[in-house]
Amino acid sequence: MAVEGHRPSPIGRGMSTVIRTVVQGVWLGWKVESNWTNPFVFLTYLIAKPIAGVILVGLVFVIGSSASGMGSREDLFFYVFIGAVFFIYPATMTVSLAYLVHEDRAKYESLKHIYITPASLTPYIVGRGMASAINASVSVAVSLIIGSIIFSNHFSLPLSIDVVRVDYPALVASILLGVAASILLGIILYAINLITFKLQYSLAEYTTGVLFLLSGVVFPTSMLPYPASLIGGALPTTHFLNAVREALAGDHAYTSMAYLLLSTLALAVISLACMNRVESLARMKGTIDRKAEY
Amino acid sequence: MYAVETIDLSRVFELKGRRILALDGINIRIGKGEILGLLGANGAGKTTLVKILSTLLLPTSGSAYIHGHDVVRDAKYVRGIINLVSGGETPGYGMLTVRENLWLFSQLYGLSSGIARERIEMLIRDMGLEQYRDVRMHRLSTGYRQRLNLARGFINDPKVLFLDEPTLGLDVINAKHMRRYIRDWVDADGEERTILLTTHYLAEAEEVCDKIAIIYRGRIVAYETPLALKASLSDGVSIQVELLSNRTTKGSIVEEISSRDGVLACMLVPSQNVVEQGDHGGNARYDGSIDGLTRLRIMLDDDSKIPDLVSMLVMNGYRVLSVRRDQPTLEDVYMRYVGSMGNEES
Repeated sequence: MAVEGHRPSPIGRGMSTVIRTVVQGVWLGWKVESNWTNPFVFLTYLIAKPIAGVILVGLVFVIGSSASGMGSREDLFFYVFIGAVFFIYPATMTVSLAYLVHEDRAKYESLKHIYITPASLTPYIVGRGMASAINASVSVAVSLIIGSIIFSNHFSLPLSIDVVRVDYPALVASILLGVAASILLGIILYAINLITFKLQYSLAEYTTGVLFLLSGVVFPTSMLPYPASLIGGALPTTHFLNAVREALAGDHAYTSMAYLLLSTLALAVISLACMNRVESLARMKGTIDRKAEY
Repeated sequence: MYAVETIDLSRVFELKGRRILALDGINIRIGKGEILGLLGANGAGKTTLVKILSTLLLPTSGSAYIHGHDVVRDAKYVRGIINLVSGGETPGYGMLTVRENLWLFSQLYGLSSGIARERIEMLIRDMGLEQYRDVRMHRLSTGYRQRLNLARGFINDPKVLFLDEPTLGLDVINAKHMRRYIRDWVDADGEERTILLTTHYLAEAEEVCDKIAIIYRGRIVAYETPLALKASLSDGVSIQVELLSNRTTKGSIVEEISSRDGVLACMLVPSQNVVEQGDHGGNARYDGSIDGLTRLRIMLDDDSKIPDLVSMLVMNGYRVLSVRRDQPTLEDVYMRYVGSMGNEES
């Protein structure tokens, strides 16, 4: 048994620990979430589920518009369809990060071992969130293509996107900011789940439900009652969806992007402060390695 | 500077309105290059102490230092020089291979790629995981998963390693391998490496530890080298008694003996010998008895008490098969300091 080869660890050499941790988070997230050991589960999760969700929203639109006698209106369909497709980003990422605590703490028993490395938890969560964003991007692209084909061919609802008019820089920037906002939102859910146990499954579901309602996914936030519309207007997800719609339509997207940037920055301050506080609380309460409390 | 130092370290848990004192003014100093064994029953406070020292838990009061760095204020630095292995756990990601799991942690510890690869290969070899290098963790047996867990603990070549009941649930061969590796690892660089080992197993502590601390209800009740601890019992006499009886309640004989004058401690012996006899045809139970045979380990303050004790046993309907005087063992030390109450807790 040779043990003489051990040497003191060269901590901090090369890439900074933060970047390394983000990279490892992305790599691990991709490995865990893609779950290549079972391609059927992966495809169901990545493709079938989001497509089903988007088609459901589209069908509700078709049925609703027919029942109300207003006929099919392409501009309204565009609003609803794009909202539903791009809402996949916050929905997938917040759920993924909210479940992450339970997975690492109870299923893989690795949370405490990750926590006691010099790498901070926050870059690790960011990395895991980015892996989730990669998966969400595939879901968005597939849902956008297949959904538009189905609704165009079978319901005479073509998606009015002129590929020449699309403001690609604005679209890419909006998506990047939307991903950042979704990760920050996920960090808040992660933080809550780090010091609680009974919410680990329901919190993500409640949050995505509320976000769906308040973020202007299928109807503008202006249609909400006053206090709710105010909350909706403060959410980065609202401005993310608006900016994406405007960029795809070739309209002026920069006002929405400015709101998106500001609300994302505000969310960054809140989520990082929240994570910082919760880490202390978790150490005080001893919840970092506690398996369950029912 | 000590590798580990705690000063009046206390921890209180609030549970449904009740205050539970898990640690009560712990003072320990572990020198560099030492292996300290922390012995105690379940709930004595061993794991709580390890959690505080490994920055997972905050103390309620007092302070703790690793290589002179406060575990509360300087947690980031401390995390770079420690690692933790908990027995009975198999942390890691099932869909990652053995090598990938170690790679993940090597990167979280900030090792350069070259050193990480070299160290991973060395640990895979040292832990006998060569043929499982590229096997996903979920395909490994429990024993190999625990070897992987131990390898993860050494990945950053920590200055202080916390081993929390590392042989829990391991078979005899894996446990022996682990104990030998631990000892060799410290001996290979005794100036830099320190281990705090918590265990239920007295033999394990005696085999690998330089010093032993006995923790009871959150307090350190003994803290010395194994030899010094045993020498501290020179005022007492340790005997092992074999009895034959049809009585079913073993607890009562322990209580009867413990309450007698001159008896320092008494406990049933759940010894390996009993298990071995069981293997040869006896109906062995892990309570110190085989088909009515009971073994007791008794500490007396004076050997003149032995005849009286034997008389009492005979009068109470026991057939005394043998009385053997033993050299003090760590078990005696543990009995002396913790007594039968601690035995019941475990």
